[in-house]
Amino acid sequence: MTGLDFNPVFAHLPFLLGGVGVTILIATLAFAFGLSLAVALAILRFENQGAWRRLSRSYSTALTNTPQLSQIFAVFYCLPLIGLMVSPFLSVVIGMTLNAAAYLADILGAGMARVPPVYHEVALTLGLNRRQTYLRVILPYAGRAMFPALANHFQIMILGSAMASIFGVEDLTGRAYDIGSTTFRILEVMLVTGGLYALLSFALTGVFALFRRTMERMV
Amino acid sequence: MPYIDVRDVCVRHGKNETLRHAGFEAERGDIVSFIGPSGSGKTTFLRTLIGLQPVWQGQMDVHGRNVDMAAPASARILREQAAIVFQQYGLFGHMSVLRNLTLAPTVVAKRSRREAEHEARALLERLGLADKADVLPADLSGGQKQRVAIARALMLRPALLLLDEPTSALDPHKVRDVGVLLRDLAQDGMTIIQVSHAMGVVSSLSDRIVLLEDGQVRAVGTGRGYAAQQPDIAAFMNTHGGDAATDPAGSRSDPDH
Repeated sequence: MTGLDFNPVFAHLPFLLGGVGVTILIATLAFAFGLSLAVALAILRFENQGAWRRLSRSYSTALTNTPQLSQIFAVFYCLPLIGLMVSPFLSVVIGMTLNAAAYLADILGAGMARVPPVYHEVALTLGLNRRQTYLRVILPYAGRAMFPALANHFQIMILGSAMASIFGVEDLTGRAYDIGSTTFRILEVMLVTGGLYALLSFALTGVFALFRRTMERMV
Repeated sequence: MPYIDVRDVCVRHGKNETLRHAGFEAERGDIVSFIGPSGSGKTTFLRTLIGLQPVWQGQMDVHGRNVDMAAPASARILREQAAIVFQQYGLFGHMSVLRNLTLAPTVVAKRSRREAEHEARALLERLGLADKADVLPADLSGGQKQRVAIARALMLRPALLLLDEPTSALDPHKVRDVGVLLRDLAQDGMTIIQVSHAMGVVSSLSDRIVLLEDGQVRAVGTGRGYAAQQPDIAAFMNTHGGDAATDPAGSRSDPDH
């Protein structure tokens, strides 16, 4: 067995680094769309006791108890069946969005349950309508209360986006496979890629801490 | 014609009538206190005045305007007339004190943020909270939270200021401060209606005292310094108030709704 040789990997480093942007883009899009869907799901279960609440909970139960990879496969193969031809990139974003919505709805739901009940009456007596109450009071309060969990889930999505490579998307992992298949230095390229994911995670931790401090100042 | 005339207010929960033909009158700048045993309907009555408690029937004339309190649209009209300070204050914990005050004026009344902040800062200064504008409610004492809650209510420029147990969480020193503040506001023409267990505060502050029992108005005493002398009210205060009730630290919250 020969020793580790990183030089062929470093020779492709600019190409590999280009995948970081794709990774961030996939996770950010899926998180943003997932959060929007999660808000609707969380409000459904927050405001209703009956069928709507069960529907919202069933959605989360179904998608948090099945592999995300299966969900992306389902999107990838099912959408063409109904005549929707979407790119692998979009399939991955849609699949991750649906999965993120399930988890984020649970997180937001827990945050909304922590909103003091008197806030609803205060909002009413201040004249806020339902939309204003959610946008100005309930969601910001829940979001701040659950910020660590939301940030943590985004980091999980960054790492989970590596699944995109299975569908041929040239994210960080996808490009690592490409470099590995041309240099035959799979171990080295995966070690470097793992290091880049770790750096990305550390950087995000710093960004979230900064964001939180800024948010606390903007009271 | 009185400034505020509330008549015939009935509240039903199933077959139970928690408020039966209750009413009162008040002049502009009056301080009205609702007293009564727990479960008598004081807080329920207060909540009807701002549309938080649906009523079976009831009429309110305020500032020459008649409101059918049972009509579906009455809640909005009542909230244009009144503002309430809740027992738990209900300050939004994720906003600064200043934003708590300016939220409704800017978002609901669509006033400019600059104008609203100017007014809010002036109000905070009047209430001795000028240096607290940019802090979160969690960093305030109980007395400060209450003054901020009162300031937030005043930002709505209401004809009626409603207070649910304003002294229940305050020490005696702070209770005196609240009394002075309420009297100042009343002198400025604000009509104040409070639910209170603190009989000392009630008897010294009130222009009118409304004694409720079993959802009905049992007695009304009028005249500052004299209202508490109405025989039924005096009897209630002697049995339910006494020295303990003049010490708000010993007063309790009222789960009467």
